[in-house]
Amino acid sequence: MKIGSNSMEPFLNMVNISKSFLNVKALQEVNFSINENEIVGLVGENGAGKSTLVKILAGVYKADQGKISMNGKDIYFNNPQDAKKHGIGIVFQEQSILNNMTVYENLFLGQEKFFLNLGVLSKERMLKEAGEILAELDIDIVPTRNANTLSFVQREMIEIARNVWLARKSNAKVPIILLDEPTTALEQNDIKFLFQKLNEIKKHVAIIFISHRLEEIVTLCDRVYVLKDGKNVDCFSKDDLSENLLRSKMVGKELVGEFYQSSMQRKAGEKVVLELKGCSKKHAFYDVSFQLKEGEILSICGTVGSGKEELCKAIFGITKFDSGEVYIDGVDIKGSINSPMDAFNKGIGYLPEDRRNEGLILNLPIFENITLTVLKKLKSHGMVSRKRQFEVTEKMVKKIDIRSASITVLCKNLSGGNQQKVVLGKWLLSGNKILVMSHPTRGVDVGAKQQIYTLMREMVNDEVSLIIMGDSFEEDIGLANRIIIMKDGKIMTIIDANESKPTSADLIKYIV
Amino acid sequence: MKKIQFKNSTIDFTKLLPLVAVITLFTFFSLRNSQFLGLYNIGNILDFANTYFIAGIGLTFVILIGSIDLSIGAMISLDTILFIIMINAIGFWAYPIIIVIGIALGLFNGVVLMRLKIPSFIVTLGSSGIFMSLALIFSGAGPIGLVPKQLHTLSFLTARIGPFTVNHFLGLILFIVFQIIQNKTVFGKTVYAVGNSEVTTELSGLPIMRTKLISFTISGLCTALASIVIVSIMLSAAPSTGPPYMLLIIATVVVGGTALSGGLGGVYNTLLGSLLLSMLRNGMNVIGIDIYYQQIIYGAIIIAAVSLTLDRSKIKIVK
Repeated sequence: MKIGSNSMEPFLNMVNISKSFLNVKALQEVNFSINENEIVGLVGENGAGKSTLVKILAGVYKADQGKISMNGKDIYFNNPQDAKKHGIGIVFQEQSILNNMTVYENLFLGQEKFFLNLGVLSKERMLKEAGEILAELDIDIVPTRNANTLSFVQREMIEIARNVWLARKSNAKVPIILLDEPTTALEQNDIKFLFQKLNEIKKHVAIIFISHRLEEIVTLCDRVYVLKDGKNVDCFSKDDLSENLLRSKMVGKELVGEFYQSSMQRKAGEKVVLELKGCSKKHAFYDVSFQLKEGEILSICGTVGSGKEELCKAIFGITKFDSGEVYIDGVDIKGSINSPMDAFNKGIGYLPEDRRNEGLILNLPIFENITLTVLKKLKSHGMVSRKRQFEVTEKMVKKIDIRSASITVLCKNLSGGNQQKVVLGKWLLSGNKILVMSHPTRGVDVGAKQQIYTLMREMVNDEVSLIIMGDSFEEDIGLANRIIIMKDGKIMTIIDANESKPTSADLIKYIV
Repeated sequence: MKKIQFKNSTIDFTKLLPLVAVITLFTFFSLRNSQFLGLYNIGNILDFANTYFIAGIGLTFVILIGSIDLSIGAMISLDTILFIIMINAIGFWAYPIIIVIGIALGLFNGVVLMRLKIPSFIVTLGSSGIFMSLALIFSGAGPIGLVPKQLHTLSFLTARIGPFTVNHFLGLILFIVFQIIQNKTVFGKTVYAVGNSEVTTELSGLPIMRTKLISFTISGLCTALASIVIVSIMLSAAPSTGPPYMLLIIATVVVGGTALSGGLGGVYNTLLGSLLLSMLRNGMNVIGIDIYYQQIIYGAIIIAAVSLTLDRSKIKIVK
């Protein structure tokens, strides 16, 4: 593979980096390098290993194998502090600017030791250095301004300035700034502004840029690495770059096998069980309309920030629609869903992404968790019958193959796959006919994944309708009857996957 | 709290530890002083435990959902004053009315919490001020005694059958009723679910707000019942009656093993907690520990109990 245009040893070089989590190989012999004054892009699907690679570089993880060298010398990190000493800093997606402090206080957060005079912080020196670094990077923000008055992109600039300053203080030769999806929450002009700034700052630093939006990668980056399934696929320099090329390299194989039980796929019924007409929510999604048919698996695809998560939450009443109409079985119900309890009573269920904190009550046993949705139905003479709780739980545990010594085992002691089955079991028992599933197989091993797919097929056969947000395009394509593609809060298109399955590339075309 | 797995059964330390403590204390004080087991002294221990247990039941539900009710002390002042005023005026009718008032006070806390969505300790600290003012206004800021001709309206509650009084049977009945409500009803199950994970409970379609409302209402109800017991023993009431109870009622609940972080413990634990504190207090008196030193023991015990039961996975930062 090509390593840059430079024949010399690159400034920072990562060679043969491998990293596994339990049995999952997140990275396999990945190479990566970056030079001074260069912006290098990193692309790949979810789970391709981008984040793992970046975190190894930032000292958050330790690589199992491989070496990192800077300026020709091998370097080792035990923690993020070590990486910072070498001038490497991350600007996180969740920003680390504290709202209740000023710009200069934020700039030097955690580094106050540099400004001590006999144990007292010297505001004078802090202001002076803040002014200097902001001027050098040509960032037009007054250091005494309160952080809560800053725009998103200004905060990002402050974080970048913080990293550059710290790298200088640590005598690092060239600061390396890692930007993880910095444009997700930005409007178009802000992105333009950010890119202009990055191109200016380039002369002082090296920048690693991660984004889902390929057009950004193509305009901004000098070089781009493509990762897939934890391996290097290719590396392109600016002249060879095009969105189409990156797209095809990212996706690679396009097989959708029996893994998703596609042969069990049924045709959706005729009856419309849920319909949205022109539903909007400010800053999330706009004018969303679609129909969900009986026994259908409808998938919603889109990147983070596409509005799909907010849409699903609004359907279950966790947040509210600002406007639009919602029909269940043809009846307008929008006004009457104000909480998850209302949605539940209308026959909707919701399988949350964060199963440990939102799907389960970890400190309660399996049977108490599974019967949470049916407590009322298990009442006799006003009391919940323990015996009937046991009966329905035993039946469900057998049906969906939850592996545990007993149904009185606490949920925190179950494996990820079994935990997810308990959450599924809870919704199967509820008898609710519309189920919204947010990443139903996240963090579950391959065997359990397949069981969950089979289970979803069986649910559909029992006339349950599913809205899913899958963990990968393959999953969405493999499971769904139809796929809704969302971008920037709007439905781009709805792809039919009943007869012939689309490829991942067909989806990405609309998403990026 | 940790659990140890023995083959098929789990032993729950939060249930076991207070029980062991109760038995140990009982044995210790009986051996140290023969007076401890006297009929009169046993009656004393039960009287004290009973009052704190009854008020503690309501607080148990509030703590189980992960909230706190700091207005119980002020509620006791207000309830006892209104109760004695009403008994002096209308006799037996005071009973149903004070129960309705108790429910209303609890409901007030619950509604404020539900509408304004602010932390329960602030809600109840604030309402505590309101209740205390009302107590001062209704009482004229001084003690109110029972008029002698109404003595019969109260005296049956303290009639003795061996070491027991009618009050103790009230405590026993409440124990049974609330034990069933806690373990067998949808409300009780939801209380534990909310206390352990409010988000999961809400996403399972269960009524969070109604559960909180009912919990605070039960707290108001139980405080009114405890106030009846207090008046039946003291035959008087004053604005200063309630506040000293507050700390020890919280102590009763947490010493019994109910976790301040919510979702762990229950009415049974509060029963043990009330017996434990009552025996400790009585035992210290019987073997002659100076009353000035006793507060040290209570304080230390509360801190120890909370540190043992608190679920630290839920509270990442201690403020």
